[in-house]
Amino acid sequence: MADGIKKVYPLSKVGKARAKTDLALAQKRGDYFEKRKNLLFGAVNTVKDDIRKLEISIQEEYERNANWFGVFADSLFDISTFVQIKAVHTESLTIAGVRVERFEKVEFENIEIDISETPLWADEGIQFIKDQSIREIMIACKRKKLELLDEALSEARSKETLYKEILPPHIENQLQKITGQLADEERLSIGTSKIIVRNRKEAI
Amino acid sequence: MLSGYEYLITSLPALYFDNPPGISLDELDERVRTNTSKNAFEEFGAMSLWNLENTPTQTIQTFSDFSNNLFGEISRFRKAKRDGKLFTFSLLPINFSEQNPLEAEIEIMKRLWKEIEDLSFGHHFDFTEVLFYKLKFQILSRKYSFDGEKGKAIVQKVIFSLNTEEE
Repeated sequence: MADGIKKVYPLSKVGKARAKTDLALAQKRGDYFEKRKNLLFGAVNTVKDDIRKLEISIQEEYERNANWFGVFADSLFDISTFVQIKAVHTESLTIAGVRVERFEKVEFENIEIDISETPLWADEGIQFIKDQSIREIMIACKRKKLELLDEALSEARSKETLYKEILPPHIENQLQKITGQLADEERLSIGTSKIIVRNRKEAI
Repeated sequence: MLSGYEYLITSLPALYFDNPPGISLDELDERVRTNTSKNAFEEFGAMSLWNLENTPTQTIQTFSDFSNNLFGEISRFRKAKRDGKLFTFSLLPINFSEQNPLEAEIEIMKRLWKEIEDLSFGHHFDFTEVLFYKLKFQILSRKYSFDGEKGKAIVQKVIFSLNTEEE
């Protein structure tokens, strides 16, 4: 153990100073990761809340429109060919140092609906599918974002623990040992000086 | 001695707007094929609620004109709705636009059914009555294809495939 301490902090004033600096740095880093953790925690909760609201909204829309779902089974009209996604647009942004994508809009293929060739319900049916798809895609985007934020949150938590709880007692312990050893050296040096002085006096 | 049409029509189950048809399309085709001439059967097969061009009888032509007017009105209503304009119905009830898509489709079918009933007056055991039977059969087949559970499954399948495609 003593060898280990010697390797990290040589038993000198310089070593002691370095240990003090490391301790201060660890405390600073601990504060930084605590702040980051708090920011990420807030962001994660907001995203989780958004997802839950969207899921409720999807369910409510299904329930609100359930009384006319029968038309989707129309033997005359296949709605699936009338709704196609061209692109999902997102915007990159950074939350507490994490790069994530924020949902902007869904761009659907511009498929013309011939009002003389399609049943009346096609208009509302297509709109319903588009609206629900947008909500589902928003959830998918938010889940990806949540995954990244969750990962960063867990990293910030473990670093906060490292810098605030694990390292400081270790460094303090090292400091204590170094201080003790330096005091021993000091006492040894004083003792030696006294012996030298006494020997000289005796020689005289 | 019953004629071909008399025998055919009396052998077919009565159709009611509020009940599913008690016969399948294949059965109907078979009964018409065995009780009418080859030409009549071909005309019967070619005519459909969704294709009323070159109608075989004058009364069916009258129905075809009505159907064109009705669907024309629906097309104009859809266009007005897209343009955010008000629309006044002449063939459909005033509150038509307030109905949900299923109620609206059933309202259209009801209107077609009523027109068939009105035009059927005076047609007994003739080819026109057989053709109207087919039109009513097609209305009921479509009406009873509107199954809520099946419809919801289709919606979810379409949305799922859209999202999967996107990922």
